[in-house]
Amino acid sequence: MNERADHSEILEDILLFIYPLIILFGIFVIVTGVTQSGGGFQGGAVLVAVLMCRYLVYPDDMLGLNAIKKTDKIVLILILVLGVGAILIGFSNLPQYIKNIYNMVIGILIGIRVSSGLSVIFYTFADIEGGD
Amino acid sequence: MILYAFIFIPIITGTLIYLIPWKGIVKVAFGLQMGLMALSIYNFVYIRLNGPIEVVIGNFAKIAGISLRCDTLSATLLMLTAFIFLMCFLFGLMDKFMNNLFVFFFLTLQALTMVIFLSGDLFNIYVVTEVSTIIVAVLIMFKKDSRSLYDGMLYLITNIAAMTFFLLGLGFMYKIFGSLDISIIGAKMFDIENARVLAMPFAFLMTGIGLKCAFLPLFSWLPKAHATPSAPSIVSVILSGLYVKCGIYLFIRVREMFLPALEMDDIFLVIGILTGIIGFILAMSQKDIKMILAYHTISQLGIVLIGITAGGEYAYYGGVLHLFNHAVFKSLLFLSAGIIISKYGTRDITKIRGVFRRMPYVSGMTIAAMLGITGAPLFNGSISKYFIQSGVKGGIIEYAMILINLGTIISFIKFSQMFFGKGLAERIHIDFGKKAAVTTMGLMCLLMGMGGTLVISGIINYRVSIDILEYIKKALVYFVSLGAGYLTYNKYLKKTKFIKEGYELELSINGIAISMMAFFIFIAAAAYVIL
Amino acid sequence: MTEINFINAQNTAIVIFFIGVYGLCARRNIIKAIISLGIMGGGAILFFLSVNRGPDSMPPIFNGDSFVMADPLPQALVITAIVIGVSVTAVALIMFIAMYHKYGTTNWLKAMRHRIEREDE
Repeated sequence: MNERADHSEILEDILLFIYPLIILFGIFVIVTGVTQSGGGFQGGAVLVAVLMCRYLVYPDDMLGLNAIKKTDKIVLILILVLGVGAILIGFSNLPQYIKNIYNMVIGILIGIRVSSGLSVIFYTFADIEGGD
Repeated sequence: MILYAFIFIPIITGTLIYLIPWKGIVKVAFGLQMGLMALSIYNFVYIRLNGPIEVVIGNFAKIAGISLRCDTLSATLLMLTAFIFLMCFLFGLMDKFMNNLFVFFFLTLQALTMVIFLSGDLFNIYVVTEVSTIIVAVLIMFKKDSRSLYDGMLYLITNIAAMTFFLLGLGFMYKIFGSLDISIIGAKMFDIENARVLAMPFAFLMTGIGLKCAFLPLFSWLPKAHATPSAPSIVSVILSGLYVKCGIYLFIRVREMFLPALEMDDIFLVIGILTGIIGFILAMSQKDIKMILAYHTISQLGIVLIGITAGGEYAYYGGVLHLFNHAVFKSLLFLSAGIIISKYGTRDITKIRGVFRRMPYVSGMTIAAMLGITGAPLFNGSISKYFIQSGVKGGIIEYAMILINLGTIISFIKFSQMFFGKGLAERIHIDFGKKAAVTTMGLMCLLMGMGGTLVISGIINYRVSIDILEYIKKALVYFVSLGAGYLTYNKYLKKTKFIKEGYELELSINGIAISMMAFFIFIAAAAYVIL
Repeated sequence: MTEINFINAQNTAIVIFFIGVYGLCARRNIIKAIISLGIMGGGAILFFLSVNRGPDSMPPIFNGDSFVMADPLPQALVITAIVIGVSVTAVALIMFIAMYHKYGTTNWLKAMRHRIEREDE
């Protein structure tokens, strides 16, 4: 009976239905950030919402925290290298389509970095509050 | 291209150090610092010969891109940054607490400080200052002691509040001028007809900058943050020797930007004098070594402000030179205070005695720094104070400077009590890195004193000369003040309750916020009245 | 009825900013100070967004027709400011949690008193 009380089945079913839509929306915002409004930061923040949904359903299980931290660090190095490299090459002399590809790649990397960073923050707070 | 190197090399090295577990990281970082020092000297010589460089990242148009601009003032400050970080790494060469995370934060702080000095765009300055505030707050509470948690929290909240004032001021500036680039706004300032519209943004910007420079009502965060008990001493060195210079640098740039339309030098002169006086009054009553030094920083910043706003070329360059001198001797004082604290185990100045016998080398260098800060002849403090005083001949300002000097001497006489006396009599061994760092800085004090005119001529391409007669007169005034200070202290002040008990000006966050509002209303009202 | 011209985004932003400053001045709870920082940031961000923007400006997405577009430059600046606000809030909250464990109080004045008492450790 107690299990039923903190594991709400309505919430689980609705979130099971919704979370692919949230992921899709997040990826949409990241990828079309090149020409429309949106971009890396906003899309990353949307993607963290999925993790928060999962936390609402299963509060005791931290999914893949080490993998998220590793991803964070690797993507940080990639962003630094690509950013510095682009500046040193003399960015504005390249043709337009390379600039578009560059924008999109940097946008995706920033989206991954923001989502992993925010989820680490979220897990830290959840851990402190839950473990007390 | 060189300017990019200053920014990216420390950040990338720091990130690699953090992510890859190496063994000899401090030595790698130290080598990096030597490289950066050489690069900054090369950069300075290049700018001195060729004039200021200006680069826009990504080759966008200047009105919309991030621009980096380096003129002689920035190049000299870059050299200062490289030098002080070099000394810090030399000092901590054999220390235990420099693990990967600490070196990563330190190198990132160095890169961010260099970006503040190099950037030509106000929004860039805002972003970088906020990030470095977060890093400094984390460095203050690095050892997670209960006292340093409070200090770090106070520092974080007050500085972020000040920067939010700055951001709102930037919003106004963008609305009026259409761009946030310093040189573009400086050029457009001449076209402003109705200058009243500038009063609000000026008040917002100056409230934000005023808190970072520790002007009169807004300095309560500074002693707690700089003298926090359990931070490693190189953190205090970086904060007090280098990071407050960013505030003054911002003040110089923003004042220069507003100069065609709005000039409030008189008000800032009064604020500078009051800051200088209150700084040494509160410094005299402290019992903790680092607190005395931290309150001193406030007083010396008051003197720099007097130099910059007093008007006239001599006083301006004297103020800027005093900025560099203060960095050198305040860092030296904090480093030696760190050595003394770690060997004696206590921070109370009434309990430490006999330092001169136990560590003669360190105390010799500390005495050199003290002679520098009080303005003894042949040391660097006297050159900058001479220039400031020769720019303000006569009038209240000169007497105020002499008063502030007297106060500085008195509080350092109190500081120097710990050299005499018996204490325990055996010699202490200090490791090589610390000795080397302390020696280099002591020698810099002496050299910059003796070659002061060469230094200024080198920096600003302006042939200055010191009138020997005036200089000897100032030296006589110095010795008289020394004697008077000694007598006053020993006969009179030692017995007063003020000095024995110690008095602290403790403002909580509410007090600091109220003083920020009061300062803002005061500057806005003054601007409306003047215009 | 005459038009009320002074209720526009800029005046609202300044009012919100000063409400945040009031919260920082007058409340003794540490969490309220952190919230006030967020409110101040929100006021400044709103001010930035409303520059050069009339009632009929379109968002700067499409490729140029004959309507007035809102200014895209402050929108780029403001994204940075929002991200900085988020990180500052996160760092301040973690520091607050650590401080709460050490001092056991969420009141500034009590924490200040404890800090002064522990001065001589």
